[in-house]
Amino acid sequence: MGEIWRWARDHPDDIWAATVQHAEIVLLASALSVAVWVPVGVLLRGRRIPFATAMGAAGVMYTVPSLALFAMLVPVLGIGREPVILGLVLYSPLLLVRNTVVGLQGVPRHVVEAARGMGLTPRQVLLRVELPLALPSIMAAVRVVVVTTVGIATIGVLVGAEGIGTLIYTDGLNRLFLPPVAVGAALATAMALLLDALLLGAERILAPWAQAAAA
Amino acid sequence: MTRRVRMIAAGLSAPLILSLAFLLAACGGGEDTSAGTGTATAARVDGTPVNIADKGFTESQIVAQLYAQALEAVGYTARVTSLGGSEIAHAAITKGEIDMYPEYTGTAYSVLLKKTDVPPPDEVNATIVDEYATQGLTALPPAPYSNDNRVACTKETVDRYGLRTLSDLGASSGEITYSANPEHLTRADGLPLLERTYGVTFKDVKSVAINLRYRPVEDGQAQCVYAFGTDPQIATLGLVVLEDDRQAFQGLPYQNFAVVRTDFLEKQPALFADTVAKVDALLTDAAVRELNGRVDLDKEDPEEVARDFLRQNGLL
Amino acid sequence: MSLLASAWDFYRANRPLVERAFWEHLRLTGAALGLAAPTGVTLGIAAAKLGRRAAFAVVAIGSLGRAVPTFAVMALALTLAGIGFWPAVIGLYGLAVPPILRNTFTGIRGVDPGTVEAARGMGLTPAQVLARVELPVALPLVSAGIRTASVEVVATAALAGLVGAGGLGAVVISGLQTGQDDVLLAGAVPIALLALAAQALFGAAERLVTPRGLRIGRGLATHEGRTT
Repeated sequence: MGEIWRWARDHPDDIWAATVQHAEIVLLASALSVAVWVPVGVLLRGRRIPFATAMGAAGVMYTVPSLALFAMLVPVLGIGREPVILGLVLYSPLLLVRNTVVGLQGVPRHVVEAARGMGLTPRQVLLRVELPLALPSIMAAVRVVVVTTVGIATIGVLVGAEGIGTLIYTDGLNRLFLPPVAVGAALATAMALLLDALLLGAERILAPWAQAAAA
Repeated sequence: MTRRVRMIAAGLSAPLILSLAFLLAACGGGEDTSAGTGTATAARVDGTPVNIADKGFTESQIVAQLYAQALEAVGYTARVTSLGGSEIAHAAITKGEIDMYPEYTGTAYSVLLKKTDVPPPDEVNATIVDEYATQGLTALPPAPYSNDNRVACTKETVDRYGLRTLSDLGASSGEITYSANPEHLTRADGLPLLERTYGVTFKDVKSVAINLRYRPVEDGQAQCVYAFGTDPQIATLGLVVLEDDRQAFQGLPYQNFAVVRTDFLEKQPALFADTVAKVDALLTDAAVRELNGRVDLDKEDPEEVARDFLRQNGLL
Repeated sequence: MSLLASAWDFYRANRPLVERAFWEHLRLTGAALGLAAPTGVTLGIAAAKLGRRAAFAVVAIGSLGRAVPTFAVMALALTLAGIGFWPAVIGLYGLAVPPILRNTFTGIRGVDPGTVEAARGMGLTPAQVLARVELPVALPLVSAGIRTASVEVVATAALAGLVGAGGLGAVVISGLQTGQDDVLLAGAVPIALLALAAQALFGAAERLVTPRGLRIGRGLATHEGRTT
């Protein structure tokens, strides 16, 4: 235990650099995932066959192990953080698209009809009524995506994406040296829990009417 | 717009803006902003940044640290990144993500330049300098020591099978387990070469992270190991190095040299190359072996070990 | 497409290497799952029977377990246990138990108490109730847990190539470090296929043990977050 503290105390720069690099990858991948897959979910709702097809494809992608997926993207994107970010984005549709669709479908019909009845265009209904009501479902997916992204991004070190994986592998496992591994594990866990809490807080602020959101 | 929609818009645009910002930052991070002094006889520079990489294993990390700290002593701001292997490092430096990294002449010649012949060392070095120049890279003169590719086996194994050369190994390999890092398994000058030229067909191959190659031997799970000439474990484990009777595995020299981006080097005063040369001059076989030993066996930090060494030799 | 073709060529030219890696991968997965399934089910049953605090502990450990990266868990296990086949299996075992435990726990807890009471009323001993009523009802969830665990194990076994336990990961990493895309694919594609096969195999088993009335749409009954 003491050895771990000592190592942490002696390597603040490494730890900080790893944290920042890791956070960049996580935030980029998560932001891209949301920006891409939520609109896709909006597009696919109500279209049963395209949705089923998309879910099938997403399910296949989801099952591919991360090292294999990152490695398969290296011939396309080279080594570094690019294959990792793209791989992480490819993992998320299963949850993000599905929860967006399910969330939107869960909006009560009479609410939509009332909104239309008030003269809102379909677009306004979507933005002002349906998406806000679907928010808990979408956020539930975002939270799982972000937490798992923190974990999977550690493997990125093996394809050249520095981050917490550098601590765990390059400094730690590669020398069978425990302190950096322990610090890396703790750091990644803390980051995951922190982001999860932040997102939960954001959800409470953005959608205060929907407490007890499904986790 | 209702308050709610504004909040949703804010919520959605924040991640978008953040990701754009990070994308820009990430793209921008690859450039180095060299201060570019003009004086050839500068005794110090003014914090010029230099990105150095190592290849993830002990010796490489030590040499990279030696370069980094020696350069910092004359005013550079050095950043050291650990990359996963030679090809990764080569890709990184040609793309401009790093400015320099320590490489071996043999590796550069056979793995990176993909040559299959084995000319004498001078020719190897000359070819590297020329071909690297066409890729925008400068190969600085190599250090005196040579980190050879070797196969080392336990004394029991050597005695049991009467092994003296790599060809002997080929004959008895069906009963032997070999320990090597993943890269070695498919590298042109690695296991495939042993199989092709010496008829080696190991019973089993334990693939381990590069710094852990000797563990399977220590645990008794492997009898032979892919060794570097400067590995301290050869001595401490009492291993026997097999002779390269066909000069194929160790036909090429594996001297350490610094690869530097030409466009970076041109902007530096002579001080840069001189400092690197001063470090290289200190790297004898014995010195490197001792440095490796302190990290691998005594579990010291490469950074500390490098610092001590430079202090002892007056470069810090 | 030609990249896949050259990967196939590499496989044909290096059959011993790739095939040995493939079987090592299977052995690691099989050993880890074979040990984890009985452990997870037993612990899950025990936890389900224990009461509220156990429930809280299980849920808390479960959520925490998902926040700790698998890579970190494996690295910890291997740094402590050393290298080789069995240390790797221990690490994989540690990863496979939680989903099986969680699902068994939820499955048993989810059995309608009325059914359990009726069975007791009929004179069945607790053990008989467990064997004849609770486990069969919980079976679909347990099966889903094993499915999730199997995919995770196949994925994480790819890291075994770093610690002398063999597996396809070594081929992938070798290809990555030498910049040989065909080598990389010759390792990565089989891993992906193995994971998909595990998913399909255990998914089919899961559907077999799910009584028609309990089928939850699209077979996505429990989609836990990926960890490797």
